[in-house]
Amino acid sequence: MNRRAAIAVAALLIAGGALASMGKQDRTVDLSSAREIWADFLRDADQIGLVATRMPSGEEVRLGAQLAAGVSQWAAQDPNDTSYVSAVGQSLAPQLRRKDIPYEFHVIESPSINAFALPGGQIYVLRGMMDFLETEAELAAILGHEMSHVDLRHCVERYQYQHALKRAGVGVGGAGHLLDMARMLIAMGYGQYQELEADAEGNRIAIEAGYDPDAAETVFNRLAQTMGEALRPPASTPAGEIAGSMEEALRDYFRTHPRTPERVARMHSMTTSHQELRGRQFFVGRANYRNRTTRSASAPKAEFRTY
Amino acid sequence: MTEFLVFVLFIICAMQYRKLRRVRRDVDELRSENRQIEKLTARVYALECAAPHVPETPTAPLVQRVAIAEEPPPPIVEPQPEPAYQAPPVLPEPEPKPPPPVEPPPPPVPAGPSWRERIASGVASQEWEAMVGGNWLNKLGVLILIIGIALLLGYSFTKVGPAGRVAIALAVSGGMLAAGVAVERRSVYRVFARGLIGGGWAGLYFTAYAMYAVDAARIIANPWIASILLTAVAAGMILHSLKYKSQTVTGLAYFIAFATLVITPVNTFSFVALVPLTASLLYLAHRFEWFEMALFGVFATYGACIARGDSGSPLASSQAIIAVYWLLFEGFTILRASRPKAFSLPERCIFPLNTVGVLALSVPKWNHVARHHSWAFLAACAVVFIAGAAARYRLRRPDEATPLPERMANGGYEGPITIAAGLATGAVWLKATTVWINFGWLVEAELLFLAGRWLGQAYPQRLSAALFGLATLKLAAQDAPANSHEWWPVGLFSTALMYLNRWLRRTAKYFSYGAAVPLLLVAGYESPTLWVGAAWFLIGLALFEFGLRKSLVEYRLQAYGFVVFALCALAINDFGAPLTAKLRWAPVLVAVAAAYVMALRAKRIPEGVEAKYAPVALAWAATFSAVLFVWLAAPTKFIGTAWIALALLMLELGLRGIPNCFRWQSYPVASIGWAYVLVTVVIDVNKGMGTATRLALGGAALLSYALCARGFRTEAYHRVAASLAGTAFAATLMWMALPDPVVAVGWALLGIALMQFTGPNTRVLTVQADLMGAATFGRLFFANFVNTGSTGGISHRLLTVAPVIASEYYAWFERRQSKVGRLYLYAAPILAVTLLRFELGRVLTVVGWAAFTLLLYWIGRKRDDLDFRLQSYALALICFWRSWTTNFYVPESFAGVPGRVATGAFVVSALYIAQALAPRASDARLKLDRYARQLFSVLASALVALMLYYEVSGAVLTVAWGVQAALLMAAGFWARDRVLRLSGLLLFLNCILKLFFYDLRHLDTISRIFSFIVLGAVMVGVSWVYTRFRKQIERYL
Ligand SMILES: [Zn+2]
Repeated sequence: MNRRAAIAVAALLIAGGALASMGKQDRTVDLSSAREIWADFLRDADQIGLVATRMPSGEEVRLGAQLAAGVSQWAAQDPNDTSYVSAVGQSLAPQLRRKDIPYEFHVIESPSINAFALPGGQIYVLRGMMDFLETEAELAAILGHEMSHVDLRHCVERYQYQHALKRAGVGVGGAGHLLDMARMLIAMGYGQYQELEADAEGNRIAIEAGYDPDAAETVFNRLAQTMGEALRPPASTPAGEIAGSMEEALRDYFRTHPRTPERVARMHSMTTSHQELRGRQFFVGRANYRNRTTRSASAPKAEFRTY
Repeated sequence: MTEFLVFVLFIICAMQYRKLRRVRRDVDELRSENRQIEKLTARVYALECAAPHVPETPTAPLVQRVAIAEEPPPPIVEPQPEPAYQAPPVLPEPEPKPPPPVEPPPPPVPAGPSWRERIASGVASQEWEAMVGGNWLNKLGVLILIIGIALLLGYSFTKVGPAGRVAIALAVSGGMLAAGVAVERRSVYRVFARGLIGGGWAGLYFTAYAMYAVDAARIIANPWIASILLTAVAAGMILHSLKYKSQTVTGLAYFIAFATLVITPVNTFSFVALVPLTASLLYLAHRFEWFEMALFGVFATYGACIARGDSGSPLASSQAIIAVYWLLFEGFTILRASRPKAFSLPERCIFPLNTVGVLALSVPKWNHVARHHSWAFLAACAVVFIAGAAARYRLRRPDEATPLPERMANGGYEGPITIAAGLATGAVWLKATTVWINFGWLVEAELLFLAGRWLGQAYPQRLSAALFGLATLKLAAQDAPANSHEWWPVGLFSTALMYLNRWLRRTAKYFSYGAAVPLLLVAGYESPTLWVGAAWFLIGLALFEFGLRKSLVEYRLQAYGFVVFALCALAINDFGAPLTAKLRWAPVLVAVAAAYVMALRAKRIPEGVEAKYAPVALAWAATFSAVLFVWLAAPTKFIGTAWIALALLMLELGLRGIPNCFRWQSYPVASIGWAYVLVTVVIDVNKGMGTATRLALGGAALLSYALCARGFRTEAYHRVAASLAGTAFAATLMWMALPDPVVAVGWALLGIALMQFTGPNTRVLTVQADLMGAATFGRLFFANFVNTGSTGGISHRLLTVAPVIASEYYAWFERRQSKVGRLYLYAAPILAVTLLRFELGRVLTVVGWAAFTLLLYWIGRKRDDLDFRLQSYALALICFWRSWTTNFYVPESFAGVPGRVATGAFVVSALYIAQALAPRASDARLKLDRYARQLFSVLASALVALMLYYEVSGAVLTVAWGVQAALLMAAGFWARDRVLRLSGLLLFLNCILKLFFYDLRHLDTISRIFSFIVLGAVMVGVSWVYTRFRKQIERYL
């Protein structure tokens, strides 16, 4: 009986191993599984408090307006580009879940290639990023990512404790702020997964709005090249394997964003798995972007591509 | 008479001193001093006459005077010899010194009367007085007298020709002699008289000598007449001295004669003159057993010759003279040896001194004059010494019982034979060249050996052995390293001779040892470098076999020596053999074979220490060689593997007893194999390693396991180490060769395989299986869970982790009795939970978990296994928490149903099903287990309530909760489940609270009213149910 069980298990192992030896191979060896489990745990733990102190949308919008007023004090806006970005952003908004958030878009004068979101739907694109992008679809991907942060409440989470305490009338003297800071440390552990979520969600809304599904991958690929980041090549020794994994796990914990190559890889596997998109027409908008004319204003055939 | 000796010594010293200063002499000084001497002489005469008149001098001052008087003699003495045998100019020199010392003499003179007094009164009570008076004064007297005569002679010499001088000298000497003889009769003057006699004879001898040898006194032209005359004087002197039967007296006479010869001008005659002198001396020494005198003769003869230095005389004549000297002493010793008495110390010294003397005189001469023929001299000497040895052998039968040094010292033949051997050796060395030297030595040695054998004497054979040793030493130090390749026949010849000698003489074991050395050298130097070790091994084998068959330990010992050398040679020469060398392994293979044969044959060694250690040591030699062989023969990548294979082979042989010790000698061999593989492959393991390395590693693993299997019962070392090595290598190979996600599968398989062995001593395997299990577990987290590879749409994650989970469950099942076994039971669900998390994603995972919870609980119930149930409880809590914290906010939707509802619903249903499975009443020991049903139920209901809280907002929430509470109550009644009913009631309570504390304040009127109405209605309904079914309820409650 036991012998037969052993043979069965062995056969199972051999079959599994043999099958796994075939097909598409992934040679990554790292501790991201452990990291992800840990992030899961942190996030679940964090959620209890966050759910309990959840901020109503109205208050979030008010908070966002306050924060945006602060931003406008130290950064000038480009009204031209702002209206273009707004037009693109507004075309994505219908795909979002939280309908009670009024999105506002700003293009500010800063050379860094970046974009960020504040609670209550305040979306900022920096001049550097505007220059870096090449098509409207790419802009849509970036906006989709930032808007998803708002839609998924990632932005407001970092103000929640402070706000909750203030509302309860005990948040005087920065205690709530401290609490938020402490929570940030926990949130750091899973911040990257929020990014990946935002990536996935942003991609989804951009695609649903009719933008080129490959735009996000393209723009992140280009970012990776510009930043000079690369995936760690597979280690060839066991010690290298373990050391590399450990080192990466430690470094990644303190990263607010996942390593760009990893994001690109995930996006790639996400879009390729969507077989239903094949054959459909998607908007790219290279000339549109150059001229800052929105799709609704002019959308010539040449600006589309078949996926 | 000893005093006289001192006196003459002064003379000689002064003469030597004078020679140095001769140059500074001038005639004026000479004359003035001459006058002074005259004065001095006059005074001395006056004193001599006045002496008797001073009797009243006290004794005490006397001593003082004597002390003062002692000093003058040397300076004063100087002139004395001059007149005797030197030209007149000699005279003046002493003058500057004499004057001051001369002053003191007057006082001492009074001592004379006191001496006479003593003699006259015959009082000898005071010894010191007797000594001073009778002895010292006598000497002083004679001395002064002689000085006087000398001065007179010196003066007269300036006036007369050679004949006159001789006449004067003869007169003085004869006078002294006659006076001495005359006075001697009276016992009172005996001491004084003897001084005169000695001096007289000496003077005669000098004079006789001077008649030919000194120009100033030459009256004889023919050296032969001179010689005869000299001999005559010597004879007379000796004959006269014999009268006293005193060694001292005669010795003194001789001394003077020798001393004279030393200081006479250099010529052959002085050497000839030594001959009769020495001969007579030796005769007397023998006749009266005056051995000290004989010894003195050796010193004097050779000392005189050496002091004179080389006169430049022809080699032949000087050698003839030296030969005569030597023969004289040699004859003396042989003569002594003919007496059955033991030698006294002087006798013992004569032979060595004679030898040293003759060689010291001759060798430099030969070197100087006929360097190329020195060998002939040495050879001749050797012959002569052999003759001497033969004579001694006849005269003194060697007594083997006496210790050798004693025999040698006592005039045995051993001394000369030793010298002869040394000389012959030297002769050969000088005459022959290159290996002919060795040849000559060997012949000589062999002759010595044969002589010893013929005479039944051990000593020549030992000498022979020493010579063989010397020849061998030369071979080793000179010929062999010269690399001429001409020497080996001689080497073999010496080996043959020594073995022959060993055969001829049983006890001479050293010969067989000695024979081995040239053999070692020949094989060592003449074999190609790589083959040296092999050659030695073969020789060792031959010697060993011979020693075994003939039961001769010595040959076996030699064989061991050869083996040791061979091993060193292998280690030095072959170990680092260049890769390009053809068949670099072949010699080592020969060595292995030889060593192995020896190790096997060693069983026949008779009992004893050797039998205890030799077989093992020889087996070690074989092992070492075999290890080396593998090192050379195996391709670099396979060396470690081959060593393990060698260990396996050795173990097999050891288990079969050929020989036994291979069993445990295979341990270190295997160990180095493992170490090699470990260092070259495992530590540096790299996915880029080629097929060869993989094959080597795989082979190493298999062989290690084989080693473990073969030695499992008997060899604890192999059981543990080999299995560990096998497992380590196999695991490494898997890591290297399998695709990343499949590594864990391979390891799991290995663990399962190792687990199959049960029985005694298998613990080590089980531990390894556990280690592999742990490694597999960890590995999954590195390479499998986030792996994105897939085959045919099935992720590699699932394909690999699922079988591993199965294997962990199997491992648990197999080992469920042990504590470690339970770890597998917990590892498996952890893997399963993780697999589900990654396979299903962050959101859907909860569905899988819920199903798994259900499964675990079902199995736990079915098998009545607490572990499974505990796992299901834990997992249920996790599902609950996860659903609440993650799933109720997820954006995903499945088939139109929001993800939060879909997943939540699944979890809730799973929990309720689990509740249904749980027993209503349990007597489980663990509280948690006892209330499992309640746990599942509460979790499910709470989850539903929470879900409603997030899905339904405002007033509707209260209504929804109310409806849920009602449903719970209904279900509780229907299923007769108290927990459900109580949950429902609790929820109702919650609704009421919410209604009053929240809804009243926050909700708008319509909603508020709506909630109140619906909730109220529901509660009424419920209360009705409770009233209606009161009885039944009471029964349940
Ligand atoms: Zn982001």
